[in-house]
Amino acid sequence: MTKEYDVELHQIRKCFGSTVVVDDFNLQVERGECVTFLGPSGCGKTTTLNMLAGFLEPDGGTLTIKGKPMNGVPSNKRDLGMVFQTYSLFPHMTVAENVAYGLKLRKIPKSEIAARVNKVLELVKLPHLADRYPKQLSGGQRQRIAIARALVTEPSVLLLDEPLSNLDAKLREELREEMKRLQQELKVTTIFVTHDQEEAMYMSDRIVVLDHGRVEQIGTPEEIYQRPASPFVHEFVGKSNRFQVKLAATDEHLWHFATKEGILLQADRHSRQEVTGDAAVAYVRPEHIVIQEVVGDAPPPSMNTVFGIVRLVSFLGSIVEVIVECHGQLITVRTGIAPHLHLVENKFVQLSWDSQHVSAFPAKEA
Amino acid sequence: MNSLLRSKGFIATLLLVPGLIIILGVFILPMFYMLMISLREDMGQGAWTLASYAHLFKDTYYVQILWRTVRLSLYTVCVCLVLGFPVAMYMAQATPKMRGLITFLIISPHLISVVIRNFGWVVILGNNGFINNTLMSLDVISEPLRLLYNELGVVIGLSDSLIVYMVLAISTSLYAVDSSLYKAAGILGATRFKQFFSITLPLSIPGIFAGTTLVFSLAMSSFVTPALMGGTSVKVLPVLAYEQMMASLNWSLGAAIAFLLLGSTIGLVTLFTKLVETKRYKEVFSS
Amino acid sequence: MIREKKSRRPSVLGIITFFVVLMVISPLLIIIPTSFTSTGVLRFPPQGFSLQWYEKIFDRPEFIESFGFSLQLAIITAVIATVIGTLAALALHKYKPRGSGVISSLLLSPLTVPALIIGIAALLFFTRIGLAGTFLGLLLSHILISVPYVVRLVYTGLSTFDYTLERAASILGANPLRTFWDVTFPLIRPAVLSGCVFAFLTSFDNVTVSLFMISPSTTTLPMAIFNYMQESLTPLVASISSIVILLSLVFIFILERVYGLDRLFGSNSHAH
Repeated sequence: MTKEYDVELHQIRKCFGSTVVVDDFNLQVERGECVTFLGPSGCGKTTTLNMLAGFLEPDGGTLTIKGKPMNGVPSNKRDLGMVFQTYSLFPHMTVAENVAYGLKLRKIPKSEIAARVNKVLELVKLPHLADRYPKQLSGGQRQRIAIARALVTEPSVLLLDEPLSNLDAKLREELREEMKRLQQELKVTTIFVTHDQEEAMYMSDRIVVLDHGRVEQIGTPEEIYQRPASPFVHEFVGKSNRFQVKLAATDEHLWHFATKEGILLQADRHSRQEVTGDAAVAYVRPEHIVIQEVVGDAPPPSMNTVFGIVRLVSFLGSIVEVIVECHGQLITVRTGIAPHLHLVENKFVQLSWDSQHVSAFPAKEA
Repeated sequence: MNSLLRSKGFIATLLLVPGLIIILGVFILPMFYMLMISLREDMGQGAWTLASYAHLFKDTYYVQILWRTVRLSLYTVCVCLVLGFPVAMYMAQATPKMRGLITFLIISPHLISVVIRNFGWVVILGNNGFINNTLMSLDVISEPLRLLYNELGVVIGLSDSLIVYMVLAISTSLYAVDSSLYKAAGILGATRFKQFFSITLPLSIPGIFAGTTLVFSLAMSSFVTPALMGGTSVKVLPVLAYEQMMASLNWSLGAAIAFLLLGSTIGLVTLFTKLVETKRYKEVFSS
Repeated sequence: MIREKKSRRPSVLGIITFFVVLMVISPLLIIIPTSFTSTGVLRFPPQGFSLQWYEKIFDRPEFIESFGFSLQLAIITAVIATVIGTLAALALHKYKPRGSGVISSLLLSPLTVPALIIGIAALLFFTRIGLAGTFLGLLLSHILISVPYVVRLVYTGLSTFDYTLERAASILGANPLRTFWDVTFPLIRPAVLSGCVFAFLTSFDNVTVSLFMISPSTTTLPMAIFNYMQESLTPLVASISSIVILLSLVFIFILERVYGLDRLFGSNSHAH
């Protein structure tokens, strides 16, 4: 494999004092790819981004941009574009001056600067604001200008540090759509940092899920969602029902699990992590559970089927979320609007799911 | 590996060096040198001795001057407190615009030399000054009142130049008082008089305390006003120190007076702090 | 009841406030009309009108010279103190070096000791090292008492500065020096300028430290007025003072415009 990568991280490690904030981070980003670092606060995603930007030096490992090692290179010599959470537009410069600043530093002729500034402002659809000061702009406009400022120098890598987190929900959706369009149009290699999984799914070609400084999984949004590599990923990305189970039996295709309360689950064995020992955790996503009304008495639990009482019904627009109490455990179910289902509180229901939708992991030692 | 960190420390050091050189070379070192001179014979060269300090306490002359300095400073604090408190209260209730105007008006004279301000007072208080001329033309008095070159003149001059500190200290603590407290007290039946003693006064204690110690310290060490408005009859410690240094050229005594001034100021402020900072005060006002 | 309180209380307090403000500014206000008196006696209200006391300033070369000297001294002090103080404030705020608490209290320490004592100590020490009575000695002592103000003003100014702006400039390709000139400095300029003006006024007004530092060839204007006032009180002092007042007002308005006097003194009230 002699493929060229725009960004390569090799065994990157960073400590603050005695705490390890990033450990053994390996990643290769292809040209034009958008890769997201996703994780809760304190997971090391921003620290890694800061190392890429040159604001922090890694304590170990090598960092390469466009094939050139970057350890020790100051950020002004890395040829990057960056959009910050707080916009960070220069308040004493107009929009046009802000955007032109990077070009001016590169000693590009004035006429060309003007043309390129114009072009990039048109790209973010704000050419009429060129002479305004950042203070006179709305949050969404500021962030667009910040994006324009980052893109105008045609950087080898674009870094986005939670660029949408200071905007309200509707603007956020609008802007992420635009960012995706720009990213795909310009084919600029992008590293995006966020704690918002929906944003991550929407924007990226690949997602790196981080927890406590460790890479939990690297994969496409679909892989991350459908085949989480660890309990952490399963719980962090999307909603999950978690079952504390004991391994009852193993056969060629299936694991057989049972919870303390007597819920029985089967999980497909193929291409899953091996479950060793007898304690395990199993997950089922709410949308993979089929909910049905039950008339009469409760039959005994059978494989991948449980009975319970509806405790809470919430209408979420296109779907309905139902919380069902089964054997003392609350199970969340998401289902489309089904006219034949009459879901009200205290109703007796049957929940069932397919063994291919059960993910199981060996339980961590407590 | 730590090259960046180390270079940051290096840059910080580089930026701090000029400032620290000035502070050490023109302030810290001279202070130690002055201490040495006050404690050793022959301009800091000879044997260690407390003679200079002993001299100050043997002679009631110096003790009297110390007492006068303290007394005048206390008078000044009282005048500043009595006149400054209503101003601070007014500022706390006023609109931001009015507040800004008053602040500007009481601060800006402070940025003009005290010599010139004192000269203005001479014009007002002198025998041919504004007050005596007015009172005499109204036939209230026949002889000019003696308002200058005595302790009264010094207290007037010091109060004028130091009241700004008292007003700003108290008003800052009053700005922090939640105005809904007054409404709450009013609903509970407190009269305006009661509200002042149960809310305004107790909550402004930190401001009064800060203003008092500041005005007192500055009054203790002021030289120009006692010299220009007190004349030769009202001698205070700073004037005495100046005379010993520049006229008598008795530098070890001058240095000792400087330390007596510093020590008595710090001692009295500390004593005052101990008295004010009761357990309850700390519980209420420590953030 | 509350309404009654609101309408009555300001009037009593307002009158006291009015008189206190009057008391504080009247010494300066009264000087200007006094300077136009036609008689030789210092009195108020002044009698007649003439510009003779302004003309007489020219008969006293010591005032002209010391005025020029004070101006020079204050400008040099302001420039040097601003540079030194700004660098120190930047180092403290941006890099937060080890022991920055101790360093900052060290840098502010001249504010905690009376100027008179600083003057005496400097005189003793400068005599020992041969700087007493020299211009350099005077300059150093003025820089010393100005630097703490600059440090504090610039430090306060930096507290609203967002360091990600420096990162943004750096990512765009600016080296540290460029970043400082293009981004940091323009944004803290009001604080630096205020520090500079404050340092100028501190030096230009000072008597208590100058007292021990001056020599016949290096006499500042406030010192010249101080010395003259102790011998004779004529309207000449009024005319000179009027000029100084008007000059100072220019700087005071700059300070008010650029920084706001309330902010200037708000932090000052902790000085002892």
